[in-house]
Amino acid sequence: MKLPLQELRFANGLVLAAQSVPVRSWQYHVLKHPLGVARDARAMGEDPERWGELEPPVVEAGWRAALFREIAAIERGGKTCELPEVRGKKPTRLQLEAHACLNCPAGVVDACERVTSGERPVGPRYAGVIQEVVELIQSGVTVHRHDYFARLTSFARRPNELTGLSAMRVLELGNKRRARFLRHDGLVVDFDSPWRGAPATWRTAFRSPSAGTPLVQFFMDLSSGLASEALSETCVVARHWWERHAI
Amino acid sequence: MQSNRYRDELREVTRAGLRGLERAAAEPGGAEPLLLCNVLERVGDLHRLRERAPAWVDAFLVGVSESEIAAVISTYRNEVAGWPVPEGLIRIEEDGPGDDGLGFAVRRRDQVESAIRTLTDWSLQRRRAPVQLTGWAELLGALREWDEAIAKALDRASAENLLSIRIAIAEPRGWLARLGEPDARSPEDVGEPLAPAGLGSFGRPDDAVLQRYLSTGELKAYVEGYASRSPEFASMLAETIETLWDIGELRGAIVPRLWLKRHLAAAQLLNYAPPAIPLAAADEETALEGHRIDLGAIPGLSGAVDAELEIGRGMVTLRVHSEAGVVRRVQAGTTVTDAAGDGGDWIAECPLPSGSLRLRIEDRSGSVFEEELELHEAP
Repeated sequence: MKLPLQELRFANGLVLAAQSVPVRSWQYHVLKHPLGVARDARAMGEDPERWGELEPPVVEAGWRAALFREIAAIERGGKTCELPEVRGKKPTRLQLEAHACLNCPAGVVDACERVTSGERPVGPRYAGVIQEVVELIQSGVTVHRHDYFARLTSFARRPNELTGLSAMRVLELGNKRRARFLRHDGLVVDFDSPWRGAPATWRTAFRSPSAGTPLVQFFMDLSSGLASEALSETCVVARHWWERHAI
Repeated sequence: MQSNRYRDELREVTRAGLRGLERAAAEPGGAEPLLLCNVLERVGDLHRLRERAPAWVDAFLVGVSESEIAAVISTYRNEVAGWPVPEGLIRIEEDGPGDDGLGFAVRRRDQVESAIRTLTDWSLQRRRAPVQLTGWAELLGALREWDEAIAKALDRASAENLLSIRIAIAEPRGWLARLGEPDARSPEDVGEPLAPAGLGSFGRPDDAVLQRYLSTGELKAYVEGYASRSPEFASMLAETIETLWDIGELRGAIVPRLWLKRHLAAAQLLNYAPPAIPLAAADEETALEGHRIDLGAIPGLSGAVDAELEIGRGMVTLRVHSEAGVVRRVQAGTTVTDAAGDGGDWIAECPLPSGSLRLRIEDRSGSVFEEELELHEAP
């Protein structure tokens, strides 16, 4: 799977390389997020991250069970899928920590990708959502982070005004950089680059699983990030939203 | 240095957020839950940074009703119910598969902790114990339950990784330190009113209040006032302070230790564990790290002042933080400082004494904090 489909350059200097995501990494995320193998003890139902709410839905009713049956039936040279969840079983502690998808045998993971790209195209739809948010930000406007946070909180009484907002900020982790994209429907997309100036490649995409987290606080999370040593001075914000909500 | 950078970033982000909230607060309408949550969290963050909130915040919070506070507590209660609880052990490393939604939840947990701090202050200013707020005990119970569930999945380093810059305001005995520690008190013990009647509406300090007192020395009047009326509580408090100090978890906050000293009429106050390298190391290339003792909030002064000691290479450095215009003079041993340094901190350095160390901090109103500290190696 190629993400993004084409190289994208951003106003803050970020470059997203159009690279193929390694298939094991891709399937790990497809199974974990839209197909709900999220390993959350409180996860409710088949779609804990609520990918079915998006328009169009990334996963539709009944797809999960059908896809799991197909994946469970894959066999290549005696090897099969090692995720117990596809067979309706609860994982053991060792299985929980094993991240089976990341070590899946080549023939099995390739067949798995074909299954999730076929009649029930969870994989391509998942990729489509990611492509959508990065393209929206790619035409965005660079603003100082203080202006971003101040404008964000000014809508604390009117969170509906945050519909349509997407934003991105770059976090520096030693030599590495991580670009985190947020969208108003709880979508989070990360791209990583190994050193400053190198093109960034896709890392993950998930929906903030807590439906109860207020939108302002969700977008304020761009003030933090994973143990970053430095955060960029600026954020890139969806242009149409920023210009429509000028203060 | 990283901690200072994180504090600076958090301060700037928080103040930027409050500028936007001031606009929102000025719009018509009451203190709706989403607005009030944001205000409580940002104000709590500032307090944990030892800074004052802008003046508009006081006016805003004065006008908030108990029903609006109850709505906020209910909002938080509902949100906590949706936070993920991972199955299995998760280690958060830079190159790992990722923290996904758990990182958001951990940071939200810390933001809610800030809101709890502000709610506690709001309540006490109205001469009410926090536990008397509708839904308070249920919210604290839900948070404790989530903390205990998370403790089975996250190690401390991973949790700190997820907090990111918010680690700069993590208190020594804050919620993060409680991960995995079972609460010995049953929920029914939290905030039980003091009997017999006639001793005011303040109940027994609950976990949130005690935690702040032990971490930072705040809420001194409430906790120590209750201890003065309840021998049973005073005994429990003394035992808690001594136990935490013995296991190295009360290096912060001089206030509880001062209370204990008065309570026990003990002369010995502080001791510290020697660093891994002897203080008298001769090898200049083996740079010694100063052993740091966070004294926390300094009592009895007119403004918010906190201090820390650094011990190393035969010297003791007293570093005092406060807003501009509060402190007038700082003294450690025989070294007196009459002006703040370039970074705004007041610093006094003196040779490490063989016996007691005299500390004195004077503010511009004439109030003085003065104490003799015994410094010696821990047994």
